[in-house]
Amino acid sequence: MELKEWIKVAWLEEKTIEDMNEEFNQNRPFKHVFITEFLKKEKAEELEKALKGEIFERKESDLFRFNQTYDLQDSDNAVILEFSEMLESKEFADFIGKIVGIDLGAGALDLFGSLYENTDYLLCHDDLLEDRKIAYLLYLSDLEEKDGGALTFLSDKNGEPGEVIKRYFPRFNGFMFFAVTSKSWHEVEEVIGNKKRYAIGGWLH
Amino acid sequence: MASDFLESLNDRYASEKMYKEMGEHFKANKEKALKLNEFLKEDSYGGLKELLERDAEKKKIANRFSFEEMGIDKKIECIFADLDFLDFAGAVVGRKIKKGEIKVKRFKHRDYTLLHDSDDVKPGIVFFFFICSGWNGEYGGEKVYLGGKQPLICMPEPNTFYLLKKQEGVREFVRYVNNLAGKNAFIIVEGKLE
Repeated sequence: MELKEWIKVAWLEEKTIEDMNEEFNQNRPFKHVFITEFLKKEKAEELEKALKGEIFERKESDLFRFNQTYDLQDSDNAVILEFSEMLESKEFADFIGKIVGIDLGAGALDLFGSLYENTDYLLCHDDLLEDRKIAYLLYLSDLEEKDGGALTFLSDKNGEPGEVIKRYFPRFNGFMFFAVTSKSWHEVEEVIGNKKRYAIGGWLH
Repeated sequence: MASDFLESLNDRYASEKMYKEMGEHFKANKEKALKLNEFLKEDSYGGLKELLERDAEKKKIANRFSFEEMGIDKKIECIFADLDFLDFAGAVVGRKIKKGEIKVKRFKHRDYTLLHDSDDVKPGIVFFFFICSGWNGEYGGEKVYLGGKQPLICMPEPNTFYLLKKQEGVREFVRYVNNLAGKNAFIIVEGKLE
C-alpha cells in the first residue's frame, strides 16, 4: 500500500515525521498531534461522501449520545474499504509508530464512523481499555465555537480529570491522534445547532 | 397541632387510609417504587421554587458529576427531616424509618452524573423530590436507575416525589442536560432513609 495515494506527501517526509514526533511528545496535557489537511483533498472528499452513505445507529448511555456506524472494516463501500486497507497496512503502522515512538501492529485497529447532531455529546473518559495504544480521529466536518463539538483534553489531578487544557474544533480533513493512558482524559463537547459533526475514528493496538 | 410536613403534604395523601393504600401499592409494585404527583400543597411547593434562583456551590469531577450543591434550606429541612415525613415513608415501605440524610442538588445546561466504580450499590430506601418550573423531556436531566428488572426512568416534573427501595447492585445517573434546556434548571432533593 502506497501511503502517498491517500496521505499528502508533505506529511510523509522524514524531517516532517521527526518534527511531528517532537510535537507529539511535547504536547500537553498528554501526548497528541493534530494534523490539518491530512489526506489528499480528493480522497477526503470521497471519504466524506462514502461515510454519509453508511448506516448509523443511535448510541446512548450515561456517558454519551451520538450516532455510530458498524465496524467500517466490514463496509460494502469501495472507498471506505480502501481507506481501511491503508490504515491496516504495515506502512501506516510504521508511519504512525515513528511519530508516537512505539511499535504498532499492522492491521490491529478499530474503525468506526461517528455523527454528532444537535444535543449530542461524549462526556469525560480516558479511553483506556484492553490494549488500546493510540486513539485517532479523522474529521470530515468543520465546526466552530458557536457549533460546539470541540474535542477537549483535561489535565489529570490525582487520578481524576482536572481542568480543560486544550480544545480542538473539528476541521475537515484534520487528523488527531493521542496516546491512550489512564490520564488521557477527554470529552466531546455538546453539538449546538444544525451542524453535523462527521468523523472516522478508532484505536490502534 | 400539625407538623410542618403534614401541613405541607397535599390533602389527597394526608390520611391513614391513603398511607395504607400507598403501602399496598408499593408492596405490589415489582420495582418497589412509588411516584406521587402534586406531592405538596401548592403554596408550600411555591415557597420552595425560590431555590431555583439561589446561589449554590459548583461541584464537578468531569468523569463523575457536574451540578450545584445547595445547603439544606430551612423549608426543606422542615418537610423532609420532619418525624412525620419519616413516619409517612415508614408507612409506605412497611418498616420503621429512624432517620434520613438529605442532599439538595441543582442541575442546568451541561450538568450530569455518571455511573462510576465508586457508586453506592448497597440496597436501601431512597427518596427524591423534584422542584422545577416545568421541564421538557427533550432537555435530558432524567434520573435513571439501572440494574433492576427494568430501568426506572424519572423525568423531572414539578412537585413530584419518588420513594424507592433500591435493590443490591442498582446504580443511578442523571442524564446530561442539553442546550435545549436554555436557562431552565431543576432541583433534586434526595435522601437515604435508614
